[in-house]
Amino acid sequence: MKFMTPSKRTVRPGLIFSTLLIVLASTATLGATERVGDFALLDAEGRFHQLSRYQHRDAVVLLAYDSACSAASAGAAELARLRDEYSETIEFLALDVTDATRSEQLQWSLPFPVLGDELKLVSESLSVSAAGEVLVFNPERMSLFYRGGVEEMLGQTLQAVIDGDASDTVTTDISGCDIDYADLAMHKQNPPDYSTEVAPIIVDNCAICHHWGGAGPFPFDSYVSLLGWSPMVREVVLNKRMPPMQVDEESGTSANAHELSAEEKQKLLHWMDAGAPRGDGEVDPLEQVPVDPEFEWQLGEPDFLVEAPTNVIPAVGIQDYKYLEVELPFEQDMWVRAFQYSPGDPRVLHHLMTFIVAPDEDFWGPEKHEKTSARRFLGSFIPGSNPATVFPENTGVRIPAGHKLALQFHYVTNGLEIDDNTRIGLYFSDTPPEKELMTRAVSERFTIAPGDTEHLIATSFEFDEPVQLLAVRSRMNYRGKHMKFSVQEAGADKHVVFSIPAYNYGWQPHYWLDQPRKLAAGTRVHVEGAFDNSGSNPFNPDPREEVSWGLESHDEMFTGYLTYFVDK
Amino acid sequence: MIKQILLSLVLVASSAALAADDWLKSLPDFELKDQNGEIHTLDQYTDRELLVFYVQGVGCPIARIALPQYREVRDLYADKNIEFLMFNANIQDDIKRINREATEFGIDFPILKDEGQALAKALGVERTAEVFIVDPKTQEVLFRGPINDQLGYETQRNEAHDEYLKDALNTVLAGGTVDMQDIPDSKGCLVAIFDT
Repeated sequence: MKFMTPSKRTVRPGLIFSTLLIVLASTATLGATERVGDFALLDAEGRFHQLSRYQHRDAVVLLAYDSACSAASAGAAELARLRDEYSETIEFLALDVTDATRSEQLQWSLPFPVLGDELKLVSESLSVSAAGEVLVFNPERMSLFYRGGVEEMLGQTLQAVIDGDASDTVTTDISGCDIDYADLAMHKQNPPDYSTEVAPIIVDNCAICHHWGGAGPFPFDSYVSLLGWSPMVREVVLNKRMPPMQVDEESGTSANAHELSAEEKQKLLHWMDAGAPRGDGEVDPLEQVPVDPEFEWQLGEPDFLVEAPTNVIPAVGIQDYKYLEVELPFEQDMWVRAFQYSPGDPRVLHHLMTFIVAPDEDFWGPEKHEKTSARRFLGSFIPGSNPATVFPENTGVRIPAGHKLALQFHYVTNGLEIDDNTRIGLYFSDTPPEKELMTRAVSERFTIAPGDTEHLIATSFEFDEPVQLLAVRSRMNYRGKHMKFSVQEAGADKHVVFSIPAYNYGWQPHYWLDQPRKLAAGTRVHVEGAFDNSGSNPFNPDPREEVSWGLESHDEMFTGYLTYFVDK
Repeated sequence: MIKQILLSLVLVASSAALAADDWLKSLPDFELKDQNGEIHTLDQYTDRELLVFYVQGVGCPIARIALPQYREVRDLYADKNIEFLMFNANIQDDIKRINREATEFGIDFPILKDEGQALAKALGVERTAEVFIVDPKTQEVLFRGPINDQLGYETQRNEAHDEYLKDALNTVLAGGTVDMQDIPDSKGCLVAIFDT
């Protein structure tokens, strides 16, 4: 079979395919190119898949799967065969259209990853009509090469993709099994109410930053603002870009992670599907969102105020991290029980990390020379998170006499030149607390080849005393892809306690675990993850470069930070 | 009033198949007010060799960051008979907000307020920060796409590898035709388009 267009790329609507239409009339139809929105889902093993991050592949094949559907099972068997033939350049995935649990998905033992799609929101957005349906995506153009059943035409389309001859969307008839879209039908009849159901989701989850004067670049301040931004809201919800700092909640949860529940996403999307009606509510909750409040010290006047000198941030461009050391006047050990950041301008200050270091050390302290070291970490500032941290009762971070603060600022440019004056308020305990909070840096050294999409790193640290693990943080640069933390008691299996499946260097919170973990002496904590040095990583400054471990912004690093206290 | 206008929401990024229209469409006649209240019509630009439009949006990070790049292209072609404009089709942005954004971010281009979205619909606008090159005499769109490859979602490069707008202007000024298959989709904030 020969398509007409010479280019490997999808051709836009408007090109003429009359010859081809005649040839294919009996088996398939070719119309315009069907374009699709980006989406991201976690698979049964908690791994992150995003369509737009498969640009290093010629195509992505996605099978709508229902284990009770014979057409889908037969389709999976045929896809397994096609995968043997085409896996070098084409990605094969299954999409669960039955809301199965991960353990059920794993029991299906499919030879490709099964993407979980809670409440079938992605299935709906892709207009998947039946289990057994196959979509073949062009990840570079965010469009479809193919939509239809698992049949001969599918294999021909994949071959055309490989040959660079695929162009517009081929569609074939689908004989599969119905997908239960009852919620969608119900919401079409009876859309979620704007005032009582939809707007509160935005107020609680988005307007924290997206209000007048807030860290978000635009405010949600009225019904019309949400209406105008609704396609964007749909896109960032479906591709998991927002809310930021999402984690794999099946591994472990943290108040520092932000995520909408599937029910909340469904309400938003179905409300938009229904035409985004204003409804009858008299008060518009988005109009009630206050403008950014005047800054206040939540814990009262600080015992000690650190004022960082002004950082001047240009209007555009990528900013290397800025480092700053602040001498402290204390002649005896001080114990920090709480602190609060006062960001100069949260529109551009994207993170701020503070360590306590010895007089002869800089920000990195022993991390410069040691793969693992115990550090005194005060905490991080992230837009949208509470700038104040109160450490758990009977714990604190020690500032040894003569030590200083070392700060690392990450700025993002927003189109304006901005002077940032950031302050930190410290609150001390009068007497030393029972437990000293320490943060263990666990890192690895490496070199990543150009273009490598999944350069795996595994490292670990064994605690020789019993500890309570309270918080974790992942630290990589632009090429960081994912990182997870597992614990393994001596002689036991390891199990994951926290997982960041889609690492983003722009959002690096210190995740305080909802459930602190007591670790017996001899427990090993594993830190495992990967880098993506390919062009499919949108944050990669240059996929043609080999990159190695180092402390500069253009280097890469792989460090898991574990905040704990010794728990004897 | 808003309720009456917004009968149904068309989500451009949804999977609904696009009609087999041309990707490069035609510029309609227009008479639109800019952020300072000045009226702009197609007629007043017909003596120009080319018109360039930039899809502006208040509060869109990419539309903000791409501004200096658009300005640089304008300055580079200052001796050519080309008019560089912007327009805003966002229903959430009224003239007052556009004016405020222009002041805050120093936007020194006229931003035409596309009331009713006729311009955006005729051009097939999907995202902000996309640029369109138009021949004002034939009203044909000769190019659409990103200014360059510097900007992405929550990311940017300090250097551009591909200068799509400059290359397209050079091609068109030399009498050539832009091969749109070489041009990637533009990145920016989705513009919600409404049926009226």
